[in-house]
Amino acid sequence: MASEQKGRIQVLQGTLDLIVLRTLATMGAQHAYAIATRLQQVSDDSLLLNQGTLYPALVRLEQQGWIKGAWGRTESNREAKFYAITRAGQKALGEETRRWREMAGLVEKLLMEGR
Amino acid sequence: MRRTFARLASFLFRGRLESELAREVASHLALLEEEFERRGMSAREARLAAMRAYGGVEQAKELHRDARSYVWLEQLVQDLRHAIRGLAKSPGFVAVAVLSLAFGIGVNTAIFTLVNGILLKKLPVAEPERMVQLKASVPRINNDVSGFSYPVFRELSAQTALFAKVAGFTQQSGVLDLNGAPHQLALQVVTGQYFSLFGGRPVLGRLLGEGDDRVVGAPAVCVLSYKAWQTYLNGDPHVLNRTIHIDGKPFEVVGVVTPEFTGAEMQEQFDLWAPTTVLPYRDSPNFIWIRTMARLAPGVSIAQARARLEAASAAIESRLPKDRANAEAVYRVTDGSKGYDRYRNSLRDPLVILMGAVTMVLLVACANLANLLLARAHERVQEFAIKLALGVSRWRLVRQLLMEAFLLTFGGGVAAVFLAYRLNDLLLGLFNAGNHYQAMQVAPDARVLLYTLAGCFATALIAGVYPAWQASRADAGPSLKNLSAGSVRRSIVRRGLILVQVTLAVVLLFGASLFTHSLSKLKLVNLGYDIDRVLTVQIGRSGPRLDAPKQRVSSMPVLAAVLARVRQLPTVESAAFTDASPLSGVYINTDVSLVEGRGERREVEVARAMAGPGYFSTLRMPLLQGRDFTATDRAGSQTVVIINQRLAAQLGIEHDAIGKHLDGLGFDPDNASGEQQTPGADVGEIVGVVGNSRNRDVREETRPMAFAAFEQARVTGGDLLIRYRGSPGELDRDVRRIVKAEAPGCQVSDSITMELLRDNLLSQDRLLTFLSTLFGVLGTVLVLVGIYGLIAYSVTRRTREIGIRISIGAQRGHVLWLFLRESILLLCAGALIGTPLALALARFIRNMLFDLSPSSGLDLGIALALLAAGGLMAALVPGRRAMRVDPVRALRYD
Repeated sequence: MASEQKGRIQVLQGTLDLIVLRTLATMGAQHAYAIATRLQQVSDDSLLLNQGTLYPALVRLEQQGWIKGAWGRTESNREAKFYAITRAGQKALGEETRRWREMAGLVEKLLMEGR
Repeated sequence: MRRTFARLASFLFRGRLESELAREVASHLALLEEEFERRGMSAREARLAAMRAYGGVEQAKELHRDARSYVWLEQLVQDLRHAIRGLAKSPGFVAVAVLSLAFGIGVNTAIFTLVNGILLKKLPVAEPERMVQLKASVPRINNDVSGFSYPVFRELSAQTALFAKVAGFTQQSGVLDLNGAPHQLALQVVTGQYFSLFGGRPVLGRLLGEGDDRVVGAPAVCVLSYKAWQTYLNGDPHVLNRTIHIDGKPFEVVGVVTPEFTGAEMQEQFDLWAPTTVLPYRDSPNFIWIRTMARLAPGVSIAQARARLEAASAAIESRLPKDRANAEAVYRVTDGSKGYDRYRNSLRDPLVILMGAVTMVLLVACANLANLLLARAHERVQEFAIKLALGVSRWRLVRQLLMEAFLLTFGGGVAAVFLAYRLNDLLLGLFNAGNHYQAMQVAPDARVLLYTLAGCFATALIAGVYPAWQASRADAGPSLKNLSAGSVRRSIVRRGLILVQVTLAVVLLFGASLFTHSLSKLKLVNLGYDIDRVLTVQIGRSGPRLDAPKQRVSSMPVLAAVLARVRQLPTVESAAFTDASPLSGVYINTDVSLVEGRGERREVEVARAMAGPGYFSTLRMPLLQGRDFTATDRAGSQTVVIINQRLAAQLGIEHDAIGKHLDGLGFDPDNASGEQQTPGADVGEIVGVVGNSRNRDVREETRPMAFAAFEQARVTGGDLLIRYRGSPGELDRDVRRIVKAEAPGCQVSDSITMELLRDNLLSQDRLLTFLSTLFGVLGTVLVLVGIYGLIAYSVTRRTREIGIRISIGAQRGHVLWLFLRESILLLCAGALIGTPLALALARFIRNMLFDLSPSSGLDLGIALALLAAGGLMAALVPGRRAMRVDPVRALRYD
C-alpha cells in the first residue's frame, strides 16, 4: 500500500470541509460517492482519499448547519443520502474561502522569503 | 457551541444514527460496486475493489462516530454497561461491598450532618460574617458569660457607633391553653430589633418591632411560628388580633412568621415570640437572662468593634449599679456568623472526636473494598490477560475496573444517605430524650449531600486505583500458572490492608469501651440522695413569671392542701415540696456567714434550696444531727435552716452546729428577683445537719448547701417530690387531677421522674457512648469480614496444597493451625501498632470521661479481647473448612 501512495497529497486537516463545501456549491446536491468521485477527478487522482474518510467531514458540516442531508434515489435507482449546501453554508463558504486564500498567501510569502 | 449540542444530541440518539450510518455506508459501497461492474469486473471482483476503494469500513464508521459525538462519552457508557454486567455476575460480592460502604459512608454522613448543622452552617442572613455575639468577662467567673441583665443590654444597644442593630433574646417554656387542652410551647422572648436583625418576614400580619418592647406590663402581643399556626390554630387565616392564653395570660396574635425563619439559633425551633415586656423582672439589674447578638455598623471591622467595646467597658460599668450581679465586667465581641453558640460551645470537641471516629470507620470500609476488589481481580486475571491480548488498552482496562469501584461506592452512597437520615433522627431522639420542649433540630442539607458525594469519590479512588492498576498488569504468560510474583505482592498488600483495619479497630473499640465505662460510672455516682422512683411535679401559678412580685400572694395554703391529698394516694410512699428539684438545672448561690463566728466573719458560697417537711426522708438523705423541718416552721415563726456536712465543716461547726445562726441566706424569695432585701430578714437558726449531695449536676463535687424551710417563704409554686410505688404515668394523672381540684389558679407545668432529669444531664455522654459503641462494633465487624475473606480465599486457593499435605500425613489440627496462625499474627501485629495509637488518641477525650483515666488498662484489655475473640472466630470458620478437605477430591481439582 505504501508504495502506491507515493506522490499523492494528504488532505490537510480542516481543508476537506472547505473542498466538500465548494464541490456541493458547484454541483448541487450530491451523495458521498459522487463527491468522492468528483474530488478524485478534479485532482487527477493525485489526492489521497479513502472514500470512507469523507464521512467525518460530512458530519461536521451537517452539525454546523452548513449542509443538509436527505435520502433520495440515484439515476440507477439506488437509494443514497444526498447532501445539499444550505444558505448558512454558502455564507460560510465565502468566509472560509477568503480565510484560506489569506492563509495560503501568507504561507507562500513566508516560503518565498526563505529562498 | 452549536456543534457541542449536536454532538451531545447525537450521543443521546446514537441508536438511530448508527443504523442510518450503516445504511449510508451500504449505499456508498453499492454505488462503488456498480461502477466497478460497469468497468467490466465480475461481481466478486467488483465487491472487493469497492471495499478497497472505500477503505476500512469499521475504521470509517469509527471516524464518523468520532466526529459525530464524543468518544469518551460513548466509551464511558460502554464501560458502565460492562461494569454492570460484570457486577451482576457476583451478587454476593456486590452485597458485601455495598453494605459495608453503606455503613461506612452512612455514619460519616450522619455525623457530618451534625458537624454541618452545629459547627459550619452560617445564619441565613445577608453578610453573616458581620454578625457578632456579645459576651462579658466577669471577675468571679472563669468563663465568659453570654447572659446579661436588661440594663446592661440597654447600654450595649446604645453603642450605635459599633453596632447597626442589636437584639436580645431568651427562651422560655409555657403552656398554651386551647379550649382546656394544654400544649407545651417553646417560646422566645425577644427585644424590638430581633426580627429585623435576623431577617424575619411575616406570612400574615406583622412581626414584633421596637414599639412592642417598651414598657413592662403593657398588653402582651405575640408572633406565631408557621408550624405553631398550622398545628395549634389549623392555619386559621383570621388568627390576627385573636387572643390566646399562655400560662393563663392573654396574648394578642399580631403575625405569623415564614417557615424558614430560624432566628438566633438554627438548631432550635420556637413556637412563639413575645416582647421582653412580658417579663415582670425585665428591668432588674440582678436578673441575668438576656443573650445578645448584633450586626456590626457599616465600616467597623470585628477587631475594631472588639477593641472599642473593651475600651468602653469601664464607662458602661460606671453608668450601672455597683452592687448588681456580674458587675465589673469587660464586654467582648465574638463571631456570630453561625448564630448563638450554645450547642457550638459544648458540642465542638465531641463532634471533632466523632468525626475522627467515623473517618476511621470509613477507612476500614475502604480497606475492605480494596481487599474485595483485589481478590476479585485475582480471580479474573485470565479474563484480563485475554482482553489485553485482544488489544484492549491497559488504560481502558483500568477505567473499566475503576468504573466497577465507582458503581459500588455510589450504590453504597445512595444506601448511606437513607441510612444517615434514619441515624440522624435516632441521634436527635437520643440527645433530646426527655427534653420534651427544647429539642435540638439538625437536618441534612445540600452541603451534606455534596460531602457524601465527595466521600464516595474519595472512597472509590482510594479503594479502587490499586486493584485496577494491579489487574491491568495481568500478563498472558504467567497468569496461566497459579503462582506469579504479582500474586505474592498482592497477598502482601491484602495482609497490609487487614493490618491497617485491625489497628483502627483497636482504636475504635478502646474509645467505645472508655465512653461506655465512663457513662456507667456516671450512672452509679452516689448523688447523696436516691433518685429511683421519685417523680417531680412542677406546680406553678397560672402565669407565675408574668406577675409582678409585689402583687404576688402566697400559694402556700393551696399547695399544702395538694400535698395532703397527694400523700393519701395509695401509690405514694412520701412527698414533699421544694423550690426546685435537684438536677432540674435551677439553682441559687448565695454567700453565708456564721453569726456566732469569732473575729472577722468568713463568707462561704453555698447552694441554697428550700425544703418542706419530709424532703430529706423522701430523697433518703441522712439526717445526721438535729431535726427535719416540721409543720410548725411556717411564716411568722423563727426562721430555721438545715445545713449539710460540708458547710458545717467549712464553718468549723461539725460537732456543735445546732442552735447557731446563719446570715446572708437570701431566703426572702423576693430577693431572687433583685428587690432590695430587708436587713436581718434572712438570718436563720440551724436546726439540723444532713449528708452531702450533688444537687446541680452529676459531675460536680459535693458543695456546701443550706436548706431553708419551704413553708416560711412566700411562694407561688414549687416542685413536688413524690416517692412512689407503681407507675409514674398513673401517679402523674392523679396529681394533675388533685391540683385541678384543690388549687384553682395553679397548674402542673411539667412532671418528670428524677431518673430522667439525671439522664438529661447525661445526654451528651449517652450520645457519645451510643455512637462510639456503634462505630466500634461497625469497625470491628468490617475487620472480621476482612479477615474472614482473606482466610476463606486463601483456603480456596490452597485446597490442592492442603490435599497433598493431608495425603502425605499432615494432622488435621496442623492444617487448621496453618490458617489460624495467619490471623493470629495479623491480630497481634495490629494490637501492637494499635495500642500505642489508641492510648495517644485517648488523651483527646480525657475531658469527656468521668472519673476514668484515658489510659485505663481494663478498657484496653476489653477492646483487645473482643477483637481477638472476633478475629479468631472469623478465621476459624474457613479454617475448619480447610481441616475437612477431602484429599482425593482436592487432588482431582484443576
